[in-house]
Amino acid sequence: MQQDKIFADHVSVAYEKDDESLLAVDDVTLSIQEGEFVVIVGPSGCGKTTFMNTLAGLVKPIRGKVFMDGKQITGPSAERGVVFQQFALFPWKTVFENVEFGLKYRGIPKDERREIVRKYIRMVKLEGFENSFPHELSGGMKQRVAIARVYANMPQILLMDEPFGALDAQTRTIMQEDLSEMFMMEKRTVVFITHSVDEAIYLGDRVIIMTARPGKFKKIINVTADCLIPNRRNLGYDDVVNLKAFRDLKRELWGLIKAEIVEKRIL
Amino acid sequence: MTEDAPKTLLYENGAEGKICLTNILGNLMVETRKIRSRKRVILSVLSVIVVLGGWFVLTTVLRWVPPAFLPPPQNILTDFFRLLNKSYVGHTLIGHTLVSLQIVLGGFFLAVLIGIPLGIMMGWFKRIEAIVDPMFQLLRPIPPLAWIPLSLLWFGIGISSKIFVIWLSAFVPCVINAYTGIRLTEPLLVKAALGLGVKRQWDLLREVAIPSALPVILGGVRIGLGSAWMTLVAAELLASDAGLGYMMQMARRALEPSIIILGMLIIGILGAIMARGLQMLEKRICPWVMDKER
Ligand SMILES: Nc1ncnc2c1ncn2[C@@H]1O[C@H](COP(=O)(O)OP(=O)(O)O)[C@@H](O)[C@H]1O
Ligand SMILES: [Mg+2]
Repeated sequence: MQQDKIFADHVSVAYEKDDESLLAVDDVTLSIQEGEFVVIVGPSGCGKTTFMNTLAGLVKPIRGKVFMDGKQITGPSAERGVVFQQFALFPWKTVFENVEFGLKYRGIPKDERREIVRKYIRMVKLEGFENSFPHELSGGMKQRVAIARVYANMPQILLMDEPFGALDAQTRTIMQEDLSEMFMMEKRTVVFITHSVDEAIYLGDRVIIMTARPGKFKKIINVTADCLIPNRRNLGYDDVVNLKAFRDLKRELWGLIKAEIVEKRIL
Repeated sequence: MTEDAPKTLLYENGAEGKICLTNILGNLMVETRKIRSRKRVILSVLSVIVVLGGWFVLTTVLRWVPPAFLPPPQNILTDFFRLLNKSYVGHTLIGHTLVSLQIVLGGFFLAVLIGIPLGIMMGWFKRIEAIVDPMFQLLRPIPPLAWIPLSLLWFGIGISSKIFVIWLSAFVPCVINAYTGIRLTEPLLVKAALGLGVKRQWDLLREVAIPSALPVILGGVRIGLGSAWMTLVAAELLASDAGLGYMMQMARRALEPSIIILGMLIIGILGAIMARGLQMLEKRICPWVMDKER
């Protein structure tokens, strides 16, 4: 059997707060294969960010272990690139320098770096903005820079934490289409977090629904493997969301999440 | 915050018409800004003219104010040219000014050179903070001028005693701001850097913490420069044998108010020039900081 790209083995994560321990992620097990686009969706505060930070190596689990390619994850690394909801661009660096940042630490020579940076700035459709500073860009463009920055850094896996959560609805739709296109062009292993059911179904090969805190996995849906929405990756966002298969799936997922919100009164 | 940059809209909603419209609006805004700044210049010039004119009228035309109390502005100008190359209490005007500048710049640069690295280290390394902070907290509330007696004892009446006091006065804001700036480093940016392959503490400090603290650090430098000037004059008034403060003190004894005012004006003008220079330097060093006031 092929080795899992990521394997989270009975992982629990807790935060210490005033001598109290707050369980954020509760006994989660997950394996992710190379080239898969996994989306985790759940009500806000359920532990999505916490789980992703654990995969990134930014947070240590209290129980369980996380492995990448069979090796335990013990700290952050360039092999797991992160895209944050709040962009996290370096405001003192230009677009070019932001995208170049990780490449310097991989010891890539300058000429080669320039080529790579150009390529990914083109991929996120930001040619002409190389010398702009982040504060001169709109939210959508900032997130494009952040995506180019991790893509260029060639991580083994891409972790995206509600990357479009801070964007307006129109920008968001276009970003979703473009990300789907990028994923088609250059296949990467992606873990994508969202609280939008539409986004989850549109992007995910596999969609995982989390329960309210402490977060567990409530259900896993294999959108691609079970061919639930045929031909999805070749269609635009509008076309996909209007398919009956999409609407049915959305109703099912939303039912599961709504139940969590109502049952646990986390409104 | 985002919609005002015209090029912004290119990918977001692609409507050409909108781009043009924003361009026009943008240009309009630039225009009004220009007009506003021209108005400001006119107002500023007017205000200077009114103050100088009022001063002239009161002292020279109406003669309501006796010159021993407030000499007319032209007297100050004549004194300026008279003393440019004529010695007054030991030095020419230029000589006194150079002594003062030497002290201010010496103390100030030493403060920047030592204070900023120290503040950065205190902000970044918990252990250094633990070692330095108690001393710093204890010495900080002592006003720099309170050090003058001791520094005279240590360094004598020459320039080193004053450089020491001025160094102290500029040092404190440099340390505090560098420390605060480093402590305010956005944790998200540290996480981002770690996820992009930064491994060593030193690289994090160099690539993330220091640049993100830079605007705050430069703010401390600006405050430090201000307090350096403030302390300079007080120190020179109290104990010295040359410099602008000394010249003013001597002029008071000789009942020559125009020389006192001359000294004040030179201090004011030099201080303003240096503050302005620092502001321009800040803009060069931190082009990413959007200045909202200017
Ligand atoms: N640094 C932290 N310290 C203490 N509690 C935290 C911290 N980060 C998150 N939490 C708590 O853990 C729970 C899960 O948070 P998070 O993973 O951010 O949720 P989500 O990303 O799904 O909205 C929340 O109840 C939150 O308040
Ligand atoms: Mg979150």
